[in-house]
Amino acid sequence: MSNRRVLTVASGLLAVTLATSAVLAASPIEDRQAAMKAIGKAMGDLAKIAKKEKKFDAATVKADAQTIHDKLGIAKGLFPEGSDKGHKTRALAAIWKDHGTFKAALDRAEKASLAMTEVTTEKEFMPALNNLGGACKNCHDKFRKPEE
Amino acid sequence: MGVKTLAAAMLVIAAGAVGGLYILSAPHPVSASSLPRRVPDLANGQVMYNAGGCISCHKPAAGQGEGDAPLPAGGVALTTPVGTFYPPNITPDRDTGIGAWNDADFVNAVQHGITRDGSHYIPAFPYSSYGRMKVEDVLDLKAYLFSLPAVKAERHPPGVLLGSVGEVVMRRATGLWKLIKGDPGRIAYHADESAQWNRGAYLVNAPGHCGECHTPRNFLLIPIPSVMFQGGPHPEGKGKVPSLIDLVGRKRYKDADDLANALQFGETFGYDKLSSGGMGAVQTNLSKLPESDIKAIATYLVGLTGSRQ
Repeated sequence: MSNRRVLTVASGLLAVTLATSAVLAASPIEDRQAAMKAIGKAMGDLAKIAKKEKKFDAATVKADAQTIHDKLGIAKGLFPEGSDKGHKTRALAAIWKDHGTFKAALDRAEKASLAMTEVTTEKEFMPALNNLGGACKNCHDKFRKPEE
Repeated sequence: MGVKTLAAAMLVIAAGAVGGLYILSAPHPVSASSLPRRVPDLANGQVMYNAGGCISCHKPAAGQGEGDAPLPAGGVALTTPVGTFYPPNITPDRDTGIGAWNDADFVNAVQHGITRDGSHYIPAFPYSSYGRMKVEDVLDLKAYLFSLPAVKAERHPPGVLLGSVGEVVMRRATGLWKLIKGDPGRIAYHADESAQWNRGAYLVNAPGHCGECHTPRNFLLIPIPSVMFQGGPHPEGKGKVPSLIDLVGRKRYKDADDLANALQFGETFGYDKLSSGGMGAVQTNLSKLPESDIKAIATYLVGLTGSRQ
């Protein structure tokens, strides 16, 4: 192979690799939005029990709480510096300006979701849900833009 | 007519105009004798406190009565298009709060936007809405505030353009603003609607002051009646305040019960729409109202379809 051919093949490969990785790594904004959506769905399920539209069932509560906990863990890593642009997002600049408070708010939610996974009786359910809902709200209040 | 005479005449007219504006912009406080005699109802006062969302603006600065039941000691900056204001301490401390106020002082402040020393409050304080309240409810609110522990809290002068001169001009201009805007009036009772709807109309439009953010304002910052509750730019400059018209038709909420659940339980019941742009604090306040009042608010709000507000 001539040097020029090697170069052509190599740059072709490089182009393919770059294109593939760009497709694979969807933006962190979309990824965290997907995680939040899943959390919203699980919260909605728990809310049905709170509203007495569904009977309390420890296994369901545990599964929903686990989803929330896992997705929060994922979302936590999806707020890199500069990810307030590039895709429609309601993330406020305060996330990066006041990162300590933001991290503490997420940690509080993670802890509240973990406590929710440990709920086994109906008596423990509402206080745990109040605590979790309060943690969601605390972060949204400070770090999320109102809807357009 | 000589030039001098003309100049003198113009000076007189100008002075007259300034004097006229000065007279027109003067505050007109109510007197103590015009107020009803009343044995205060503290529970009702607390309802008014939560419906009015007093704590949202008068919240304490760091280190002063925070926590689960914060006291309205004031001190946290409120940023508005016309300057930065520090909502004052409304706990009954005699030196730094409202402990030395009589009923007339309180009614003048809350309903007429008039300070104790006879000046105008800047309408960042939503007295245009509170002016629609029943005076009995305002007196109960005062009694409730006076039942809270007194907190000593430092006072902060507002930060407006041109400093204290700007503040004097702005306060005087507020007198003209009040004249142009007109008297807020009271909430009319609609006999063709339920008692629940009417209670909701009162809570939303008088103490609740929902329209202060949810109704767009004109260039004089006066809410425009023809577009009541249609939403608009956020007063703090980020994003928009949503419209409250046709909440069910636009699929924001299923029905009045759904909205009442959202207002009462918020994110605990999975309703995450209400906790951004300052609405989270409003929801926290509303969640403390009796359930019947929350339902009344929801009933009135889902009835806003644009044809009657």
